[in-house]
Amino acid sequence: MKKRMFWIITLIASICVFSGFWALYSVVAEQYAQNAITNEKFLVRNANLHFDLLAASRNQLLAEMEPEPASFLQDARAAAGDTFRYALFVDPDGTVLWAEGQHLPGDFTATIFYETLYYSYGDPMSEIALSDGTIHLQTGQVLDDGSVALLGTTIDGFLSQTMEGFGERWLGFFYGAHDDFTSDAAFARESRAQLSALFLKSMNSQRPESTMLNADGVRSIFTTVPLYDADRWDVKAYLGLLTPYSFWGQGLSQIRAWITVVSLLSALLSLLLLSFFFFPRQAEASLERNTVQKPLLKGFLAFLPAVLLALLFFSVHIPRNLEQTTEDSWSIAAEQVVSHYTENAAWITSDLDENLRQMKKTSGNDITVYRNGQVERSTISDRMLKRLSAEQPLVRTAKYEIGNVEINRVQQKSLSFSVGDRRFLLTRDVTDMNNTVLSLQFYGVGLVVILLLASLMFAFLLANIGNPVKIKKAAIGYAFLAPALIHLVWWAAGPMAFSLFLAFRRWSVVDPAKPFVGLGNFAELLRDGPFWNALKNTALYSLHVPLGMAVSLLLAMAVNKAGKVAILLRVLYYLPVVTAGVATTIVWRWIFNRDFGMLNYFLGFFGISKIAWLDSPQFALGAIMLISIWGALGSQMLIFLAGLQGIPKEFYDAASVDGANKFRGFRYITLPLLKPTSLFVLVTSVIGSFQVFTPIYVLTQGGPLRSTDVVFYHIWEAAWVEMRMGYAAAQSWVLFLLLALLTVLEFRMFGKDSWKAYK
Amino acid sequence: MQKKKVLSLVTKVLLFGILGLLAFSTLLPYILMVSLSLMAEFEMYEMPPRLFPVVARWSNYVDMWNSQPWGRYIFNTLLVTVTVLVGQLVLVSMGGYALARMDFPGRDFLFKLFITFMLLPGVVTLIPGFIILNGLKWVDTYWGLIVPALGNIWGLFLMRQYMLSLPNSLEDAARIDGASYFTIYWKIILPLSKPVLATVGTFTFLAMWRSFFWPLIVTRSKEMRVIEVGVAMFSSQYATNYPAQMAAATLSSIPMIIVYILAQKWIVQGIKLNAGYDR
Repeated sequence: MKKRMFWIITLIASICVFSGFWALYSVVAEQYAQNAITNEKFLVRNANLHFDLLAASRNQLLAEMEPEPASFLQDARAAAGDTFRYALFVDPDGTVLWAEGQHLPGDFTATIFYETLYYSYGDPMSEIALSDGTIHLQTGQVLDDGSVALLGTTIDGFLSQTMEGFGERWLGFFYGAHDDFTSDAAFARESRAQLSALFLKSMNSQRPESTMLNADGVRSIFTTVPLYDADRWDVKAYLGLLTPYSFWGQGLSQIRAWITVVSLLSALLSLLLLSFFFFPRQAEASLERNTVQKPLLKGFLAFLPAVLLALLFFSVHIPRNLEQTTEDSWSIAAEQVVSHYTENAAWITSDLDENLRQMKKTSGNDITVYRNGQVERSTISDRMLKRLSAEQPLVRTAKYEIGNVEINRVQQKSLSFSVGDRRFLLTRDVTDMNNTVLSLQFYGVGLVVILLLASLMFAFLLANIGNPVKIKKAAIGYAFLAPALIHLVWWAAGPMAFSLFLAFRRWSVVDPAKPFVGLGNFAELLRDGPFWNALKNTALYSLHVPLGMAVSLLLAMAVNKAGKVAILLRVLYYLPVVTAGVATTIVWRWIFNRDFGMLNYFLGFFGISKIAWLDSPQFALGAIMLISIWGALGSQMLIFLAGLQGIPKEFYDAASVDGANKFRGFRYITLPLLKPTSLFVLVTSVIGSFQVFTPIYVLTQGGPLRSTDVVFYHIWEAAWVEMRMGYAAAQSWVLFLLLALLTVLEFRMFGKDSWKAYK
Repeated sequence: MQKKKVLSLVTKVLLFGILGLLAFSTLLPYILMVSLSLMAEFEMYEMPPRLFPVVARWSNYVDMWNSQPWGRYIFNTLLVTVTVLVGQLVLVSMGGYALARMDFPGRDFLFKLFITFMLLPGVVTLIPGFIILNGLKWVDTYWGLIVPALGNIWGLFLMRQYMLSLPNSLEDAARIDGASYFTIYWKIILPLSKPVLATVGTFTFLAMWRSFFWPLIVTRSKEMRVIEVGVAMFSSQYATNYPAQMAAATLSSIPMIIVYILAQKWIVQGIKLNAGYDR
């Protein structure tokens, strides 16, 4: 009976370990697909850039021809070579003078492109076009007299050239509107509705968009990006990239193999170790209960392999694997990128500023051009350029180099190559990939925590296998405690650990990049004058605590003597403790008013001239302290009152018999016996005083001249105004540690006996 | 003898004088709040300062009410306060029951863990808490206002202490009759714990009604705003119209003061049990 139970529980434990890994695998697969899509978008944007460069080179071609009606056709044939399809010439009055070649557009003068050209400044322009069922490129130019020259060229070469290195991918055009397009792709017929929806999405977002679809029975990622007309206004066509999912699936199948091995191994190990540690032995089976020494430690040891393997998986295997995919996507694109940049170097450098800007817009990559070792131009802002780190090469070929670069600590995958005397550095922000790794690591931490808890649970179950009542009691106990416990872990313990993690990162809810900065936040804190000023203000501010305590102690002694009225007084004094908030703070603003406020009026009786309480750096913090004393008086007084009432009267009687006066009674009886109470008030009030916010937010906003900028307010500003949450978390840890230190000091100051009493 | 009596009389007068003065200054903000809310603006600028208006100008309240969706703010505050109140009482009483009257491994460790977190300042968990909330897409929702506020370790502590003091006899009798743990919790322990539940409930109500920092950071739209944030925004927006601000302040304070007076008994009990709650 016992043995059967033992095996059932042990098996369940190892199945838990096994399925834990596979549950995680489903998350990994999901994130992995997202990562693949990010890489596909990167590739399609690069293809789009190639297309733009092609158009630019055709523009260049036409510009160099200086078209004239008589020689245009011959020049065009000669210049365009194999790519030539047609040429035509339009008179200033809009009649077609002549048209020669294949796939001639039927009514060119009726198109928007003609109109765009006609009203342009005379620079050549290109856009994608369709005639005779053939997608090609039109390049046109308006001449000084208003006539228009048009050159039609094929783009077949573009597709095949761009596809080099793209592997099993398919790249193609979808000409027309999102719901009415022409394409020669077979899968376009099957998945027409899906493609339409995607094109619409991409048109609206003006970004590349992806979807999973079945192309000829193969699960594939389809990614598209809109191609615009010469005006960059209307979408004329869509560029589509189709990739079999198996391409990225390679990395995933590696992971799957890893998980298979790891999950089996750790399940098996846990099974073995659990049975080794907990198996009910024959000799002991006769006993009422077989006692297992240190069951929790043994349970932990049994699950340790699983925990270690999970940690290894999430801290080494996953990041490395995903890192490899982004590196791969640069490798896929690199050859073509380099050759396109090289071919179009003349055009790119003709107007470096404008062209780089356009190229960045299309490709999404930042481009930095070096000449003679100096930055000539960059799409990175000057401020960020200063924070561009040196490249760490990963792949080096004769033509190019792929590497890692950081811009302001944000990781980039870079591609660098030389064209003539210039060196190009292309940087791709890989924040998406890093965030994928981060989120997977969070799940990994979740798995580890669950494994550890499960190890405790199974150890308990196995150790008490002969004692079902105990197990039942434990289950019910935890069921009752669960809501409170889950809340504690979710909103206190978990955030606490997360906060430590944050303190070592740059983190903002509006910026996707969350780079690890090491001790950077703390180093910055050391140099941050306003933070130390805030700390100084907090220290000054917390001086109101002993001040208020002295007042409330005297008040408590008075109330203690007041007899029956004390009940009423207690109610009055306590009111602000539980009702003070924004409302009363606003009233205080009026009380502190320089000319009409009650406080200055009252002080006027003592000949004190008017003080601008909230508007002067000397007094503003004092004013806030006054509000805080007012708010805490009742609570402190009541605690002291309870303390006073706990002192036996006989002590005072004995003292007065000995001839001690009232002051000596206070000094040698009241004060020492109130030590534990005072310690309690001090500790809780100081902790509270470090977290003052409402009056400062409502009355002074940290001013004037940052004289009321306390640390809590400072942290709020850093986190929710400047959105620097990592930095704010570092500040909150410093505050927390200082507070802990202060609390320890307070305990020390009051001596051991008082905190024993407090306990 | 005569001299001593006179002296004690003088001491008494002095004592009550000071106590009265302090009580008055404690109440002064509340008195001013109400009286300023009923003043005409010119009355505020009189010297010596006026304590009461010549005639009560109720129109200040009408102006105030019409300028902001106060009804919505009050509804939000009530909804959040009541939900948190009920939720906290469930969490706290169940947890307290488990910690006080059940025996299971890890109980004492977990109790110490709770106590440790009671002493920790909240500042460290604010930012990660907000990021978690943001990740859940709970910013500017009732969830974001309610769920993080459901924990109340102080309440759990009080519950446990109180339940420890309850006699075992009733529970044992019920167990002999075959009652389940849940039945015992629901039918015996909860009814016996009414005083603590009322105390925790009162303090929770007052704390939630005037909570400001958390609602300030997790709400953005006017639709989700609670009354304290509403008053703060109103006061910075209508900085010159002091009587209207005071009317808003009065509006937001009245429910608290009513609860404070009605629930005196429970507040006194809370102070007796442990007065460290006010932070």
